[in-house]
Amino acid sequence: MAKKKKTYEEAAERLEEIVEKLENSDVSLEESINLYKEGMELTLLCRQKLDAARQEVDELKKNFDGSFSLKPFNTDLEEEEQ
Amino acid sequence: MIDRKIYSVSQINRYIRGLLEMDVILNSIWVRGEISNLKVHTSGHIYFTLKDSSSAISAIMFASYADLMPYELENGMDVIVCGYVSLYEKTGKYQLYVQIAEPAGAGELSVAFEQLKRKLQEEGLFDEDYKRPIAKHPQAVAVITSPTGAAVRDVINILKRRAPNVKVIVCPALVQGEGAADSIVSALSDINESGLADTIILGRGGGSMEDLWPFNEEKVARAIFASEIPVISAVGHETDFTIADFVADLRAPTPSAAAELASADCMEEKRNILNNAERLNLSIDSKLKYENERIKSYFGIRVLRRLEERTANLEILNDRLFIQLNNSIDAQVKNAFNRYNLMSEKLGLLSPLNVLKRGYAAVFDKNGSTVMGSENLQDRDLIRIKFYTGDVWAEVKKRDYNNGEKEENL
Repeated sequence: MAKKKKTYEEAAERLEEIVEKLENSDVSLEESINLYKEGMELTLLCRQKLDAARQEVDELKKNFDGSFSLKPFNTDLEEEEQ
Repeated sequence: MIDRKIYSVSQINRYIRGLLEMDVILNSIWVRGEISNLKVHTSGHIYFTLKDSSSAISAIMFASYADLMPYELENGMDVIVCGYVSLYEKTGKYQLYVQIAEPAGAGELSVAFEQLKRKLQEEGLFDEDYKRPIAKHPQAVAVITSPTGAAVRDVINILKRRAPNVKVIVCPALVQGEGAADSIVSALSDINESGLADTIILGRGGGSMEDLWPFNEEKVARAIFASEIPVISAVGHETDFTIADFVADLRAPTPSAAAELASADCMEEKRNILNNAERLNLSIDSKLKYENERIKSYFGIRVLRRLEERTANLEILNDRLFIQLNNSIDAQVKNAFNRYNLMSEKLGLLSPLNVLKRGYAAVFDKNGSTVMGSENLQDRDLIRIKFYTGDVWAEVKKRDYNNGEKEENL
């Protein structure tokens, strides 16, 4: 666990997986406790990610060398132009 | 002999051609008929026969005109064509040179739509097998549309309310008029090349069929099909269907709906996560309960209870013992230490040499035994007096008695 920063999707999917695994009675008690711990940590991580979210809107720009970069997309300005 | 004017075949054909081309009616004429014997030459020229129930005329449409048509001519198609009648001098056949060909009845755009739809369908571009699933929890959603249109604002607003954790990447593109199809195609290839998005929303707000036309063009359809990132189409209103909708991995009735299909509702997610946490708690609880029961049934409840009691008692006892033990060890050590101190003090005091050092002397009788008091001596007994620094020998002249208290001070 916690070896690498998980994306929300990865964390949510792993959580789902753990819940299903834990609800399956084939797991040993020791593994259950480990799964429970991991699941609770993921719950926390997911909640944090959802609570901390602030929308980011960028515009895709193609550079001269063919690479790509993102620049903030000004939504307010566009609304004024309308 | 009458003078004969002899013409060559070429001359005749050229003459007839001239006649035909000069004719006011024939040099710009609308003709309705059904297409048959259609052949498309590699040069792009189209040869066909236009016929009705009792008659036929050869027709040709040069590539330069054919290229301008949004749809393709087909055998059996009922068309109204515009062109002129002329003669093909090489064969001496007259034919209709078609410049414009419109489908009779339906509009040419809808014919083009149906044709492309059928063609792509036959190729398998609409097959369910090729539809990729849309990410449930995308990190980034790309929006290919006009940066100033209503569609981009709708998508941004919906995502902001619904899934603020999802990043929005706007890929500006022309969505109507000339160059729109190319612009859409390059936006699709750019975002795919960048690999920055998990889902693409491709669309625009409502408009006429002509306005929406770029989304019915073959190159756009093929670019959608080629996209490695799943595409949600969102063109116009709910009632508008475009080729893009058929090729896309998912069709949304409007751009707002596309934003909803592209994201998971944040509130719902929170409920989900909470629900999962509850399920975790419930299952670990039941697991622990189960294990507990298992152990109990294994030992037998009574044995276990007694064991528990015993264990509890033992623990209390243990604690008490431990404290006692500690205390007693402490005490013992302390006692030992104290005793040792006392002893060494006493030993120090009792050491005869130490006593002598302070100016006292010890008395021994003639046998070498210590003389403890005057009562142990007689007059004229010989005694040895031991000082710290040396011995003297003396004879007892006189004796008297004290009480024993002075001795204790020694």
